[in-house]
Amino acid sequence: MNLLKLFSHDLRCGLRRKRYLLMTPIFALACVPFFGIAMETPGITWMDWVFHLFAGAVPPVVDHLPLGFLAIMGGALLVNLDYLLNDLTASGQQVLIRCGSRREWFLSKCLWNLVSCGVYFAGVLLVATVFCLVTGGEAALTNTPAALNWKFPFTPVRPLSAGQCLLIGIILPYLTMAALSAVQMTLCLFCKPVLAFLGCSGALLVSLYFNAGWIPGSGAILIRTSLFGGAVEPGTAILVDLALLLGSVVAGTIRFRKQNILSAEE
Amino acid sequence: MEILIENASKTIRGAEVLKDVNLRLTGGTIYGLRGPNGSGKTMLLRLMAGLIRPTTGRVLLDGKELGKELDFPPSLGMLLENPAFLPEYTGLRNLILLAQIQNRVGASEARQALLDVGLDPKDRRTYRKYSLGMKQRLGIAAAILEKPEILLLDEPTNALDAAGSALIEDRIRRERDRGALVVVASHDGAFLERLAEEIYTVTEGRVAK
Repeated sequence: MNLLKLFSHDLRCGLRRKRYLLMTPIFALACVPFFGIAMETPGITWMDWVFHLFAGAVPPVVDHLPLGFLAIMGGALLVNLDYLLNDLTASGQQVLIRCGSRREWFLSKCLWNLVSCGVYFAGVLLVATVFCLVTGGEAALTNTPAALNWKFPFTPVRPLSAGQCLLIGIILPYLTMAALSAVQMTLCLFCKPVLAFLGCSGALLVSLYFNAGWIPGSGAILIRTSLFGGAVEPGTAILVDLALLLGSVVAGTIRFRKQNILSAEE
Repeated sequence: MEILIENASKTIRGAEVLKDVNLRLTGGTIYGLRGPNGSGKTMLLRLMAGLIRPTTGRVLLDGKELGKELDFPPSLGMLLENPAFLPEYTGLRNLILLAQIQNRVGASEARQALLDVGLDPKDRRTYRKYSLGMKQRLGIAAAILEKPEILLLDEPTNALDAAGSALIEDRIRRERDRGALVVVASHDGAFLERLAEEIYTVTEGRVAK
Protein backbone atom coordinates (compact mmCIF):
# COMPACT_ATOMS: atom_id res chain seq x y z
CA MET A 1 0.00 0.00 0.00
CA ASN A 2 2.85 2.31 0.93
CA LEU A 3 4.53 1.53 -2.35
CA LEU A 4 1.44 2.58 -4.30
CA LYS A 5 1.27 5.90 -2.46
CA LEU A 6 4.96 6.53 -2.98
CA PHE A 7 4.62 5.64 -6.62
CA SER A 8 1.74 8.07 -7.05
CA HIS A 9 3.93 10.76 -5.42
CA ASP A 10 6.69 9.96 -7.90
CA LEU A 11 4.29 10.07 -10.83
CA ARG A 12 2.98 13.41 -9.59
CA CYS A 13 6.40 14.95 -9.00
CA GLY A 14 8.64 13.12 -11.41
CA LEU A 15 6.60 13.25 -14.58
CA ARG A 16 5.42 16.85 -14.47
CA ARG A 17 8.62 18.13 -15.92
CA LYS A 18 9.10 20.31 -18.94
CA ARG A 19 12.22 18.46 -19.98
CA TYR A 20 10.21 15.74 -21.74
CA LEU A 21 8.78 18.42 -24.02
CA LEU A 22 12.14 20.13 -24.38
CA MET A 23 13.56 16.93 -25.87
CA THR A 24 11.10 16.83 -28.78
CA PRO A 25 13.20 19.13 -31.02
CA ILE A 26 16.07 16.64 -30.56
CA PHE A 27 13.80 13.79 -31.65
CA ALA A 28 12.72 15.85 -34.65
CA LEU A 29 16.33 16.62 -35.59
CA ALA A 30 17.09 12.90 -35.43
CA CYS A 31 14.24 12.28 -37.89
CA VAL A 32 15.33 14.92 -40.40
CA PRO A 33 18.04 12.89 -42.24
CA PHE A 34 15.41 10.28 -43.14
CA PHE A 35 12.97 12.82 -44.54
CA GLY A 36 14.31 12.78 -48.11
CA ILE A 37 14.50 8.97 -48.20
CA ALA A 38 10.94 8.70 -46.90
CA MET A 39 9.70 11.05 -49.61
CA GLU A 40 11.51 9.19 -52.39
CA THR A 41 11.03 5.58 -51.33
CA PRO A 42 7.59 4.09 -51.98
CA GLY A 43 5.82 2.17 -49.23
CA ILE A 44 7.70 3.68 -46.26
CA THR A 45 5.98 2.72 -43.02
CA TRP A 46 5.80 4.08 -39.49
CA MET A 47 8.07 1.27 -38.39
CA ASP A 48 10.69 2.42 -40.93
CA TRP A 49 10.82 5.76 -39.12
CA VAL A 50 11.31 3.97 -35.82
CA PHE A 51 13.97 1.74 -37.40
CA HIS A 52 15.76 4.83 -38.68
CA LEU A 53 15.92 6.27 -35.14
CA PHE A 54 17.17 3.10 -33.46
CA ALA A 55 19.25 1.62 -36.29
CA GLY A 56 22.48 2.66 -34.60
CA ALA A 57 25.58 1.81 -36.58
CA VAL A 58 27.63 -1.10 -37.87
CA PRO A 59 31.31 -1.16 -36.78
CA PRO A 60 33.53 0.55 -37.71
CA VAL A 61 31.55 3.64 -36.77
CA VAL A 62 34.36 6.19 -36.69
CA ASP A 63 33.07 7.99 -39.77
CA HIS A 64 29.39 7.37 -39.18
CA LEU A 65 28.71 8.06 -35.51
CA PRO A 66 24.91 7.85 -35.21
CA LEU A 67 24.37 11.21 -33.55
CA GLY A 68 20.58 11.00 -33.61
CA PHE A 69 20.62 7.60 -31.91
CA LEU A 70 23.11 8.80 -29.30
CA ALA A 71 21.11 11.97 -28.67
CA ILE A 72 17.90 10.00 -28.12
CA MET A 73 19.45 7.35 -25.87
CA GLY A 74 21.72 9.81 -24.04
CA GLY A 75 18.82 12.24 -23.70
CA ALA A 76 16.87 9.63 -21.76
CA LEU A 77 19.76 9.38 -19.31
CA LEU A 78 19.90 13.13 -18.98
CA VAL A 79 16.15 13.50 -18.45
CA ASN A 80 16.16 10.93 -15.64
CA LEU A 81 19.46 11.90 -14.08
CA ASP A 82 18.60 14.10 -11.13
CA TYR A 83 15.09 13.19 -10.03
CA LEU A 84 16.04 10.77 -7.26
CA LEU A 85 18.59 13.04 -5.62
CA ASN A 86 16.50 16.17 -6.09
CA ASP A 87 13.50 14.51 -4.52
CA LEU A 88 15.67 13.30 -1.66
CA THR A 89 16.70 16.83 -0.77
CA ALA A 90 13.28 18.42 -1.30
CA SER A 91 9.66 17.45 -0.64
CA GLY A 92 10.60 13.80 -1.03
CA GLN A 93 12.22 13.87 2.40
CA GLN A 94 8.83 14.54 4.02
CA VAL A 95 7.41 11.71 1.96
CA LEU A 96 10.24 9.38 2.93
CA ILE A 97 9.85 9.81 6.70
CA ARG A 98 6.12 9.30 6.40
CA CYS A 99 6.40 6.12 4.37
CA GLY A 100 8.80 4.74 6.96
CA SER A 101 10.65 2.41 4.58
CA ARG A 102 13.80 3.14 2.66
CA ARG A 103 13.34 -0.02 0.60
CA GLU A 104 9.87 0.94 -0.60
CA TRP A 105 11.00 4.48 -1.33
CA PHE A 106 13.78 3.24 -3.60
CA LEU A 107 11.54 0.63 -5.24
CA SER A 108 9.09 3.38 -6.04
CA LYS A 109 11.90 5.32 -7.73
CA CYS A 110 12.72 2.20 -9.79
CA LEU A 111 9.10 1.97 -10.93
CA TRP A 112 9.13 5.67 -11.70
CA ASN A 113 12.22 5.14 -13.85
CA LEU A 114 10.35 2.58 -15.97
CA VAL A 115 7.42 4.95 -16.43
CA SER A 116 9.64 7.95 -17.10
CA CYS A 117 11.49 6.06 -19.82
CA GLY A 118 8.10 5.00 -21.18
CA VAL A 119 6.93 8.60 -21.39
CA TYR A 120 10.20 9.63 -23.04
CA PHE A 121 10.02 6.74 -25.48
CA ALA A 122 6.39 7.59 -26.27
CA GLY A 123 7.61 11.10 -27.12
CA VAL A 124 10.11 9.65 -29.59
CA LEU A 125 7.40 7.51 -31.18
CA LEU A 126 5.02 10.46 -31.34
CA VAL A 127 7.54 12.58 -33.23
CA ALA A 128 8.21 9.65 -35.57
CA THR A 129 4.44 9.41 -36.12
CA VAL A 130 4.22 13.09 -37.02
CA PHE A 131 7.04 12.72 -39.56
CA CYS A 132 5.42 9.59 -40.95
CA LEU A 133 2.11 11.41 -41.42
CA VAL A 134 3.77 14.43 -43.01
CA THR A 135 5.61 12.24 -45.55
CA GLY A 136 2.53 10.17 -46.30
CA GLY A 137 3.92 6.97 -44.75
CA GLU A 138 1.84 3.91 -44.08
CA ALA A 139 0.64 3.12 -40.58
CA ALA A 140 2.20 -0.35 -40.61
CA LEU A 141 4.23 -2.32 -38.07
CA THR A 142 6.38 -3.95 -40.75
CA ASN A 143 9.57 -2.66 -42.33
CA THR A 144 10.72 -1.80 -45.84
CA PRO A 145 14.28 -3.10 -46.47
CA ALA A 146 15.08 -0.21 -48.84
CA ALA A 147 14.54 2.24 -45.99
CA LEU A 148 17.63 0.98 -44.16
CA ASN A 149 19.65 -0.09 -47.22
CA TRP A 150 20.48 3.52 -48.12
CA LYS A 151 22.43 3.83 -44.86
CA PHE A 152 23.63 0.23 -44.49
CA PRO A 153 24.26 -1.06 -48.02
CA PHE A 154 26.29 -4.05 -46.81
CA THR A 155 23.82 -5.27 -44.20
CA PRO A 156 21.30 -7.88 -45.36
CA VAL A 157 18.19 -6.02 -44.28
CA ARG A 158 15.14 -8.14 -44.94
CA PRO A 159 11.42 -7.75 -44.39
CA LEU A 160 10.41 -8.76 -40.86
CA SER A 161 7.09 -9.71 -39.35
CA ALA A 162 5.24 -7.20 -37.20
CA GLY A 163 6.21 -9.16 -34.08
CA GLN A 164 9.90 -9.11 -35.00
CA CYS A 165 9.71 -5.41 -35.80
CA LEU A 166 8.06 -4.68 -32.45
CA LEU A 167 10.74 -6.71 -30.70
CA ILE A 168 13.77 -4.96 -32.17
CA GLY A 169 12.22 -1.55 -32.87
CA ILE A 170 10.18 -0.95 -29.72
CA ILE A 171 10.72 -3.49 -26.94
CA LEU A 172 14.52 -3.74 -27.05
CA PRO A 173 15.26 -0.01 -27.41
CA TYR A 174 12.84 0.76 -24.57
CA LEU A 175 14.23 -1.98 -22.33
CA THR A 176 17.81 -0.90 -23.01
CA MET A 177 16.92 2.72 -22.28
CA ALA A 178 15.21 1.75 -19.02
CA ALA A 179 18.06 -0.54 -17.99
CA LEU A 180 20.78 2.06 -18.59
CA SER A 181 18.71 4.68 -16.80
CA ALA A 182 18.20 2.33 -13.83
CA VAL A 183 21.93 1.66 -13.66
CA GLN A 184 22.55 5.40 -13.74
CA MET A 185 20.04 5.99 -10.94
CA THR A 186 21.74 3.41 -8.74
CA LEU A 187 25.19 4.75 -9.58
CA CYS A 188 23.98 8.16 -8.35
CA LEU A 189 23.84 6.62 -4.87
CA PHE A 190 27.53 5.74 -5.09
CA CYS A 191 29.03 8.69 -6.93
CA LYS A 192 28.27 12.15 -8.24
CA PRO A 193 25.41 12.24 -10.80
CA VAL A 194 27.70 13.61 -13.49
CA LEU A 195 29.96 10.56 -13.12
CA ALA A 196 26.95 8.23 -13.25
CA PHE A 197 25.84 9.92 -16.46
CA LEU A 198 29.31 9.74 -17.98
CA GLY A 199 29.59 6.06 -17.03
CA CYS A 200 26.28 5.09 -18.64
CA SER A 201 26.63 7.26 -21.73
CA GLY A 202 30.17 5.89 -22.04
CA ALA A 203 28.78 2.34 -22.01
CA LEU A 204 26.37 3.39 -24.74
CA LEU A 205 29.21 4.77 -26.82
CA VAL A 206 31.35 1.67 -26.27
CA SER A 207 28.47 -0.53 -27.43
CA LEU A 208 28.63 1.23 -30.81
CA TYR A 209 32.25 0.20 -31.30
CA PHE A 210 31.98 -3.46 -30.22
CA ASN A 211 29.70 -5.89 -31.93
CA ALA A 212 28.60 -7.96 -28.92
CA GLY A 213 25.15 -8.51 -27.45
CA TRP A 214 26.27 -8.51 -23.84
CA ILE A 215 27.50 -4.90 -23.86
CA PRO A 216 24.88 -2.63 -22.26
CA GLY A 217 23.41 -0.51 -25.02
CA SER A 218 23.77 -3.06 -27.80
CA GLY A 219 20.14 -4.10 -27.41
CA ALA A 220 18.98 -0.77 -28.75
CA ILE A 221 21.10 -0.98 -31.92
CA LEU A 222 18.74 -2.84 -34.19
CA ILE A 223 20.99 -3.01 -37.25
CA ARG A 224 23.26 -5.35 -35.23
CA THR A 225 20.47 -7.81 -34.53
CA SER A 226 20.82 -11.40 -35.65
CA LEU A 227 17.62 -10.88 -37.65
CA PHE A 228 19.78 -8.79 -40.01
CA GLY A 229 22.77 -11.14 -39.79
CA GLY A 230 24.41 -9.29 -36.88
CA ALA A 231 25.91 -10.57 -33.66
CA VAL A 232 23.25 -9.34 -31.25
CA GLU A 233 20.70 -12.01 -30.36
CA PRO A 234 17.47 -10.31 -29.21
CA GLY A 235 17.06 -12.93 -26.48
CA THR A 236 20.55 -12.22 -25.13
CA ALA A 237 19.95 -8.47 -25.25
CA ILE A 238 16.69 -8.87 -23.32
CA LEU A 239 18.45 -10.96 -20.69
CA VAL A 240 21.24 -8.39 -20.39
CA ASP A 241 18.70 -5.59 -19.98
CA LEU A 242 16.66 -7.51 -17.41
CA ALA A 243 19.84 -8.40 -15.50
CA LEU A 244 20.85 -4.73 -15.46
CA LEU A 245 17.40 -3.70 -14.25
CA LEU A 246 17.32 -6.32 -11.52
CA GLY A 247 20.92 -5.72 -10.51
CA SER A 248 20.25 -1.99 -10.20
CA VAL A 249 17.21 -2.57 -8.02
CA VAL A 250 19.08 -4.96 -5.71
CA ALA A 251 22.29 -2.89 -5.48
CA GLY A 252 20.33 0.35 -5.04
CA THR A 253 18.07 -1.09 -2.34
CA ILE A 254 21.07 -2.38 -0.36
CA ARG A 255 22.97 0.86 -0.77
CA PHE A 256 19.99 3.09 0.05
CA ARG A 257 19.49 1.34 3.41
CA LYS A 258 22.61 3.12 4.65
CA GLN A 259 22.47 6.21 2.49
CA ASN A 260 23.07 9.50 4.32
CA ILE A 261 20.17 11.80 3.51
CA LEU A 262 21.55 15.29 3.63
CA SER A 263 20.62 18.65 2.17
CA ALA A 264 21.89 19.67 -1.25
CA GLU A 265 24.47 21.93 0.41
CA GLU A 266 25.74 19.23 2.74
CA MET B 1 8.21 7.92 23.72
CA GLU B 2 11.91 7.86 24.48
CA ILE B 3 14.93 8.52 22.30
CA LEU B 4 18.16 7.02 23.60
CA ILE B 5 21.39 7.91 21.84
CA GLU B 6 24.32 5.78 22.95
CA ASN B 7 27.94 6.67 22.12
CA ALA B 8 26.92 7.87 18.68
CA SER B 9 29.52 9.31 16.34
CA LYS B 10 29.13 10.19 12.72
CA THR B 11 31.80 10.70 10.11
CA ILE B 12 30.89 12.10 6.71
CA ARG B 13 33.50 12.33 3.97
CA GLY B 14 36.29 12.09 6.51
CA ALA B 15 34.94 14.77 8.84
CA GLU B 16 33.59 13.74 12.24
CA VAL B 17 30.37 15.73 12.47
CA LEU B 18 29.08 14.10 15.68
CA LYS B 19 31.38 12.89 18.45
CA ASP B 20 30.38 10.36 21.08
CA VAL B 21 26.88 11.70 21.67
CA ASN B 22 24.93 10.31 24.62
CA LEU B 23 21.40 11.57 25.19
CA ARG B 24 18.19 10.36 26.72
CA LEU B 25 15.12 12.33 25.64
CA THR B 26 11.58 11.62 26.79
CA GLY B 27 8.10 12.63 25.68
CA GLY B 28 6.29 15.68 27.07
CA THR B 29 9.47 17.76 27.12
CA ILE B 30 10.90 20.49 24.93
CA TYR B 31 14.63 20.11 24.41
CA GLY B 32 16.76 22.87 22.98
CA LEU B 33 19.91 22.47 20.92
CA ARG B 34 22.04 25.54 20.64
CA GLY B 35 25.33 26.17 18.97
CA PRO B 36 26.87 28.13 16.14
CA ASN B 37 26.31 27.32 12.46
CA GLY B 38 28.03 24.10 11.50
CA SER B 39 28.34 22.85 15.06
CA GLY B 40 26.32 19.68 14.36
CA LYS B 41 22.81 20.63 15.50
CA THR B 42 21.17 19.70 12.21
CA MET B 43 23.20 16.49 11.98
CA LEU B 44 21.98 15.50 15.44
CA LEU B 45 18.39 16.10 14.32
CA ARG B 46 19.04 14.03 11.19
CA LEU B 47 20.41 11.26 13.37
CA MET B 48 17.25 11.25 15.50
CA ALA B 49 15.10 11.31 12.34
CA GLY B 50 16.86 8.26 10.87
CA LEU B 51 18.09 10.25 7.88
CA ILE B 52 21.70 9.44 8.75
CA ARG B 53 23.01 6.35 10.51
CA PRO B 54 25.64 6.62 13.23
CA THR B 55 29.12 5.44 12.20
CA THR B 56 29.51 4.07 15.71
CA GLY B 57 27.00 3.81 18.54
CA ARG B 58 23.26 3.53 18.15
CA VAL B 59 19.94 5.33 18.40
CA LEU B 60 17.04 3.58 20.14
CA LEU B 61 13.40 4.56 19.98
CA ASP B 62 11.47 2.97 22.81
CA GLY B 63 14.09 0.22 22.76
CA LYS B 64 14.03 -0.33 18.98
CA GLU B 65 17.23 0.46 17.11
CA LEU B 66 17.01 2.92 14.24
CA GLY B 67 18.53 1.49 11.10
CA LYS B 68 18.03 -2.12 12.22
CA GLU B 69 14.53 -2.56 13.56
CA LEU B 70 13.17 0.71 12.18
CA ASP B 71 14.11 2.83 9.18
CA PHE B 72 12.49 5.95 10.64
CA PRO B 73 10.58 6.84 13.80
CA PRO B 74 7.00 5.70 13.15
CA SER B 75 5.48 8.97 14.34
CA LEU B 76 7.76 11.82 13.35
CA GLY B 77 7.24 15.41 12.33
CA MET B 78 10.22 17.44 11.25
CA LEU B 79 11.30 20.72 9.82
CA LEU B 80 14.90 20.61 8.70
CA GLU B 81 16.62 23.53 7.01
CA ASN B 82 14.46 25.12 4.31
CA PRO B 83 11.02 23.62 3.89
CA ALA B 84 10.30 22.25 0.41
CA PHE B 85 6.91 21.47 -1.08
CA LEU B 86 5.39 20.94 -4.49
CA PRO B 87 5.49 24.43 -6.01
CA GLU B 88 2.43 24.07 -8.24
CA TYR B 89 0.02 23.22 -5.39
CA THR B 90 -1.52 25.32 -2.62
CA GLY B 91 -0.40 24.88 0.97
CA LEU B 92 -3.55 22.94 1.80
CA ARG B 93 -3.16 20.62 -1.19
CA ASN B 94 0.46 19.95 -0.21
CA LEU B 95 -0.55 19.00 3.31
CA ILE B 96 -3.39 16.78 2.11
CA LEU B 97 -1.01 14.94 -0.22
CA LEU B 98 1.40 14.36 2.66
CA ALA B 99 -1.43 13.25 4.94
CA GLN B 100 -2.56 10.68 2.38
CA ILE B 101 0.69 8.74 2.77
CA GLN B 102 -0.12 7.56 6.28
CA ASN B 103 -3.87 8.21 6.22
CA ARG B 104 -3.80 9.07 9.93
CA VAL B 105 -5.39 12.46 9.37
CA GLY B 106 -7.50 14.02 6.66
CA ALA B 107 -8.35 17.34 5.06
CA SER B 108 -9.91 18.83 8.20
CA GLU B 109 -6.70 18.26 10.20
CA ALA B 110 -4.70 19.76 7.34
CA ARG B 111 -6.87 22.88 7.47
CA GLN B 112 -6.46 23.03 11.25
CA ALA B 113 -2.67 22.70 10.97
CA LEU B 114 -2.63 25.68 8.62
CA LEU B 115 -4.77 27.73 10.99
CA ASP B 116 -2.49 26.75 13.89
CA VAL B 117 0.49 28.36 12.18
CA GLY B 118 -1.40 31.43 10.99
CA LEU B 119 -2.01 30.43 7.37
CA ASP B 120 -5.37 30.64 5.62
CA PRO B 121 -6.57 27.23 4.36
CA LYS B 122 -8.68 29.03 1.72
CA ASP B 123 -5.65 30.81 0.27
CA ARG B 124 -5.59 29.88 -3.46
CA ARG B 125 -1.97 30.91 -3.98
CA THR B 126 0.37 28.11 -4.95
CA TYR B 127 3.44 27.36 -2.85
CA ARG B 128 5.75 28.99 -5.37
CA LYS B 129 4.04 32.32 -4.67
CA TYR B 130 4.49 32.04 -0.90
CA SER B 131 6.77 34.46 0.93
CA LEU B 132 9.68 33.04 2.94
CA GLY B 133 7.71 33.42 6.17
CA MET B 134 4.70 31.60 4.70
CA LYS B 135 6.95 28.78 3.50
CA GLN B 136 8.37 28.46 6.99
CA ARG B 137 4.89 28.38 8.51
CA LEU B 138 3.82 25.70 6.04
CA GLY B 139 6.92 23.69 6.97
CA ILE B 140 5.88 23.81 10.62
CA ALA B 141 2.28 22.95 9.70
CA ALA B 142 3.56 19.85 7.88
CA ALA B 143 5.64 18.89 10.91
CA ILE B 144 2.69 19.06 13.33
CA LEU B 145 0.09 17.81 10.85
CA GLU B 146 -0.18 14.25 12.13
CA LYS B 147 0.30 15.12 15.80
CA PRO B 148 3.58 13.22 15.88
CA GLU B 149 5.12 11.71 18.99
CA ILE B 150 8.49 13.15 17.99
CA LEU B 151 8.80 16.69 16.66
CA LEU B 152 12.18 17.87 15.38
CA LEU B 153 12.44 21.53 14.43
CA ASP B 154 15.53 23.17 13.00
CA GLU B 155 15.52 26.96 13.32
CA PRO B 156 11.70 27.10 13.38
CA THR B 157 11.55 30.89 13.65
CA ASN B 158 13.62 31.52 10.52
CA ALA B 159 12.04 34.22 8.35
CA LEU B 160 9.26 34.84 10.88
CA ASP B 161 8.40 38.21 12.38
CA ALA B 162 7.92 38.69 16.14
CA ALA B 163 4.21 37.85 16.01
CA GLY B 164 4.91 34.76 13.91
CA SER B 165 7.62 33.63 16.31
CA ALA B 166 5.29 34.04 19.29
CA LEU B 167 2.60 32.02 17.52
CA ILE B 168 5.05 29.21 16.75
CA GLU B 169 6.37 29.23 20.32
CA ASP B 170 2.84 28.79 21.60
CA ARG B 171 2.21 26.02 19.08
CA ILE B 172 5.35 24.16 20.16
CA ARG B 173 4.29 24.31 23.80
CA ARG B 174 0.92 22.86 22.89
CA GLU B 175 2.66 19.99 21.14
CA ARG B 176 4.65 19.36 24.32
CA ASP B 177 1.47 19.55 26.40
CA ARG B 178 -0.14 16.74 24.44
CA GLY B 179 2.90 14.57 25.19
CA ALA B 180 5.17 15.04 22.18
CA LEU B 181 8.93 14.85 22.49
CA VAL B 182 10.06 18.15 20.97
CA VAL B 183 13.63 19.00 19.98
CA VAL B 184 14.27 22.53 18.77
CA ALA B 185 17.60 23.56 17.29
CA SER B 186 18.35 27.25 17.14
CA HIS B 187 21.23 29.64 17.27
CA ASP B 188 18.91 32.06 19.10
CA GLY B 189 19.75 31.48 22.76
CA ALA B 190 17.01 33.77 24.09
CA PHE B 191 14.35 31.91 22.10
CA LEU B 192 15.54 28.58 23.49
CA GLU B 193 15.74 29.93 27.07
CA ARG B 194 12.07 30.94 26.83
CA LEU B 195 10.91 27.72 25.26
CA ALA B 196 13.00 24.72 26.25
CA GLU B 197 12.99 22.82 29.53
CA GLU B 198 16.43 21.34 28.88
CA ILE B 199 19.06 22.94 26.71
CA TYR B 200 22.08 21.19 25.21
CA THR B 201 24.98 22.98 23.63
CA VAL B 202 26.47 21.50 20.49
CA THR B 203 30.08 22.42 19.78
CA GLU B 204 32.08 20.83 16.97
CA GLY B 205 29.92 17.72 17.10
CA ARG B 206 30.05 17.30 20.88
CA VAL B 207 26.89 17.66 22.94
CA ALA B 208 26.93 18.96 26.52
CA LYS B 209 24.26 20.18 28.89
